[in-house]
Amino acid sequence: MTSSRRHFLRATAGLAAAAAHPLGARFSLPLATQLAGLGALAASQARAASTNDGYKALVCLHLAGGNDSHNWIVPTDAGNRASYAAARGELAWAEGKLQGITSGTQASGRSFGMPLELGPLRDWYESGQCAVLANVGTLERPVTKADYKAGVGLPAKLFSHNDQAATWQSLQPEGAPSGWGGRMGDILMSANQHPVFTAVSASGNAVFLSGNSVTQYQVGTNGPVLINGAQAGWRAGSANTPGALRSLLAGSGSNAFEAEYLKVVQRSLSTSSLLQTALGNTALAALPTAPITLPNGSTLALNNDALAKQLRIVAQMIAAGPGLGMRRQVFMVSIGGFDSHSHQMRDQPLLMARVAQSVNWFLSALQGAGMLNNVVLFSTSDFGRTLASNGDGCDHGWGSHHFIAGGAVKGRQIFGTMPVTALGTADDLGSGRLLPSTSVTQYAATLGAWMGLSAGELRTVLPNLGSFSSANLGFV
Amino acid sequence: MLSSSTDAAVTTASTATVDTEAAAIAKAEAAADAQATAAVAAVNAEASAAALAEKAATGAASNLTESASTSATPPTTPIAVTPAATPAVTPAVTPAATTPVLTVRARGSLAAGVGPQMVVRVDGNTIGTVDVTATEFTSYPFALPTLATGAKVDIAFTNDAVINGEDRNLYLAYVAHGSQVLMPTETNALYDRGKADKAFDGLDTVRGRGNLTSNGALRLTWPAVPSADAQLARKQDAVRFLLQASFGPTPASVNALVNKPYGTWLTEQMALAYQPDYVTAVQTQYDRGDAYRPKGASYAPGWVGQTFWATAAQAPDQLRKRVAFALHQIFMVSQADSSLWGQARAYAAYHDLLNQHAFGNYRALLQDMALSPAMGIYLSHLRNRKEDTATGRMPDENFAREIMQLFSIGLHELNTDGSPRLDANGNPIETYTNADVMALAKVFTGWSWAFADNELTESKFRWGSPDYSAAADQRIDVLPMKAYPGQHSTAAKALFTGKPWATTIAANGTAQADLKQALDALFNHPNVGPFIARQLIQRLVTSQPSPAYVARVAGVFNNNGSGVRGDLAAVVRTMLLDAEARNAPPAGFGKLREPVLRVAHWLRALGAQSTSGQFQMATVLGNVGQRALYAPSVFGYYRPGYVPPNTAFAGSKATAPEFQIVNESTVAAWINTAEAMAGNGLGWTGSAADVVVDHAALGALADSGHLGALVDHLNLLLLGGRMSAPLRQAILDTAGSVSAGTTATANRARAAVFLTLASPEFLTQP
Repeated sequence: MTSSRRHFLRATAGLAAAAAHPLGARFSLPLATQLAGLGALAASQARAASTNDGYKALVCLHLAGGNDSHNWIVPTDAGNRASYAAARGELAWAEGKLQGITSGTQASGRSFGMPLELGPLRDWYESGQCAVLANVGTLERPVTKADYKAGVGLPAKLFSHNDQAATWQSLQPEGAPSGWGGRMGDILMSANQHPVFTAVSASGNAVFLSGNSVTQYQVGTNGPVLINGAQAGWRAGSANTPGALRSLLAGSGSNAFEAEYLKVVQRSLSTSSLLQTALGNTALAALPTAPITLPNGSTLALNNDALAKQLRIVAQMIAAGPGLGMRRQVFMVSIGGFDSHSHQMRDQPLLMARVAQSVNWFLSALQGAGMLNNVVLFSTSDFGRTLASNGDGCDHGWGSHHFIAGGAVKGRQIFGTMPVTALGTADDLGSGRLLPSTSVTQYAATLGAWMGLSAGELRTVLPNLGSFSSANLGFV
Repeated sequence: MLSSSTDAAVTTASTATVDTEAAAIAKAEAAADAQATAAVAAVNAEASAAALAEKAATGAASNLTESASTSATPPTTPIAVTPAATPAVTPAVTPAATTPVLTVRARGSLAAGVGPQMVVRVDGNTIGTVDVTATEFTSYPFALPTLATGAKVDIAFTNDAVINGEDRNLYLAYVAHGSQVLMPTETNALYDRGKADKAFDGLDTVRGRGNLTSNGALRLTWPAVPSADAQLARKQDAVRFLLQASFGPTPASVNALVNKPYGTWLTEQMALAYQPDYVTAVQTQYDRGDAYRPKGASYAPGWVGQTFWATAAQAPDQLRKRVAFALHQIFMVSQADSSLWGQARAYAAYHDLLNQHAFGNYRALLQDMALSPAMGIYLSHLRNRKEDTATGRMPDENFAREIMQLFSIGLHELNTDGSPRLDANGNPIETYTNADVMALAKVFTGWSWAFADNELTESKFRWGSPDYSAAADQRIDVLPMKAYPGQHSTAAKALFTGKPWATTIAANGTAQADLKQALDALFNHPNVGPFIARQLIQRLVTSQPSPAYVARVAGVFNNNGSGVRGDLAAVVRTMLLDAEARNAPPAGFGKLREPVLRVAHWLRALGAQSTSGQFQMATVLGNVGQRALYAPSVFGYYRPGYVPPNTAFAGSKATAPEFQIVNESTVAAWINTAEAMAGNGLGWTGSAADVVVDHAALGALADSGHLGALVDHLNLLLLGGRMSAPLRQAILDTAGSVSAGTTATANRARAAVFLTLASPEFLTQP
């Protein structure tokens, strides 16, 4: 029996079990039904993907909490500037805080800028290696304002943090068994000499990287964590301890809790030394210890920054990837603090600076390693936010703007359609919650195509792709 | 005769040896030296000291000079070598049966392909001889007619040799009979050196040891059989109960439950008066002066975390503390929020609030929680402004959304058993819409810090912050928020429009009246019972409770039998006394224990003490995925509905929340943490680990004559009797083979504790 055939049988068995369970009906939406069986299809089509063109990696940068991207890409033409200021009130950036960006793709007369804190990201944008995707959000199919009011064709649990973050990552609310990063990995893992490193998180468990075959691998920001007590030597009072510990950890447990835990331990034991050695063979610079002075005069030390540290270990793994026989990898990093209900004007500048400076270091490091063209980093978030202010921040929205960076990116462009930044527009569902004009599905499909997935495979990973007129947004 | 369960060769005749007494002693020295080297390499000062002490003792006994001891070739290290044919492992401790069996746990190093010959005598009579060919510890059982108290048991090594640089030695881990396990290093054990009769002549003896590196006999005097613990089964059950109902068993708490019904214990625990432990602890620091208050150089918000650990370890009202920790995970306010950094006392007050209401009514908890400044800061409804239709400003929706999604009714309409109610198309029914969130957001407007009633101005509402300096401190951070005149939305607020429980809060009500009506609506929503009950069961008892179990607990939430809804004491009692919690657990029952519970259990079961008295361990477990009180967001440390993908749980969609923080990094970090727990301890005083177990005292259980007693102690208190045969074997081998010396007692306990804490069975709760 072929490996694909086995995967198919295992996945369909899982599907049947899910349907028989009383809770199986919980996600019995059409999309969910399609998703449930797609791991089988993914595995059965494993040979179609094109992976012979060298090493490629996707890096998902999740801005946890729901980023207020209204303040990342800000209108600078007079008319939209005024409507932006009126809609945002105390949340509007002053004009002097903005640097213009090239935006020929948008409607005539419109112009945009980025806050000074995003300067390093703007530099990559203007140099043609970073693009912006406007007003993208979770959609099962294109919907109108009328659909929204009627409650027709909408993603489940809009505006809920965990559910919308999960929908961004998996196309389903919380409880989804797999994400589209992991599902791409299901198809691509056979191209890798060490499939265990196909989907790697540096920021904890995320459904984005869960596949139907692929299990996400967690790496610490200092690399793999070694189990000290299993290393030879005198441990906890005896030289017999390491051998005894290893034998205990090699067991299969006496119940499902123990068994599944031990599998993770065994994966940790079997990979940590291998990965540590491979990482040690890379020559990536350390994060700078010298504080960076930010536009408001405060400083940021990247060597102490949680996001920069995640991106450094990802850069190390990418640098080590070809040597490990890897051809396709999907990574995830994240940074929290974006749920700006309050203190937005106090907190947003530092968050923007942390993202821009960390990504800048990451892209520069990849460039130094000669791998900038092999990597695409893209941002995600739970949702966009309301244009309207609550006096000190803003609330959960839907569509938002995102950025994509890397040597292969067709930068210096805003893809999609920038909405008119005002309350009461055709895109405004109330309080400046934006109806997305581009779907996460299309965003993902464009990235998946770059990774080498065929059109059929993309429909497997992203079952609702056929609902949208364009399967490739062209940003990479 | 050797039992037939092993293929180890047995002979009855003694074979010739080719060694001299002097060479044997030099070999012993080299072995000790090698141990010292290994110890230094492992950066374990105590192990090093043990090996050096042993070396010194041996040197003194043999009158050899230091130079003689350093010239010998180090012996080979046999530990990592797998024998070509490992004899079948028999249970380390054979239950007392009609045919007594003496089990010698031994391994050998081979010379010229021949292993050490081991002769076993009881009271001078040879009961068996075996060639030890296994190079890892292996059980060698010997049948014998009887083994009386005071019997002399000799384990002799008779064919010492060094051939072509290969050194033949015999290594012993322990000698067992029934429940009795004797170490080679027992205080009355002797290593009687010499070959043939000289091994039994009582001359040229040193204290007993496991490394027989020259011809001679380990000579043991068999102790009396300790009386069996007739209450063991009840104690093991008590441990299981205490894992559910407290931060873990202590020897005293287990003993207290031997003759006490669990219901009585619950009643007694609930009768222990609530104490504001958290605020008391922070206030004690604040009282030391302005340096210890926010903005002061010695201020540390970690005092709250320290209080968590101190009370988990030592507070008498364990049930309250454990339930409050479960409530913390539902009504999450995390100190990871930087806005709470300077609010240690407000945050402490929030944890006191959870403790205060642990056996109170959910409705009162809901209100005090909603008006807590810590919650107000965390979910930003403190200073929440009413809408302004002129500018488009709208109220902050943060708390309004999460009080519904996370703290009361959840996202889907539920049946009493926790299953989702379905619409005509078979789909779940969402409990609220965004319009409900926006309406409820207006309810939570107009609340801020509890300044004096004559100070409640708009300016104070928007900008006023408490002054925590010693001179000005009004302690308003421990008071509920107050409603500010003119700051509350006067719009009508329609909730749950179209649902049977729809309610409209009329326009122009007061902030207080609106709050009451809104919280009453949430409280009376049929979802609350199953939504809260299932999560409490998950935190205390089992990850995937049966619908019937949820229904029984939710039913008591709905009506405690006296017509009262929301009685949390009744909910807790029902949950813990339910047959599913008390009966023998079926497959799939129980849970993976979160890291905080593992450490708390260790603190209590082994009586760890804080040398500073402060439990300075607020930051532990960060790399294991669960720094206490520092959940990454309001969604907690992990989600109650988490089903780990690609596992046995995924097929049946069984929830196993704690697996959300299990990954390749955290599992390794846990074992490294366990090594610290079994070593120098956890936390940091600034110069040393703060929270430490007295391993010497623990190890003394084994010194008293029975290694088994130490293992049994850990099996009861850390595992409730669930120690697997492989774990017991690993501990006996490792602890039994610890070299004699001044730290041997502690080292035995360290090895046993480490392996237990790292074991899969310690991670789970049945």
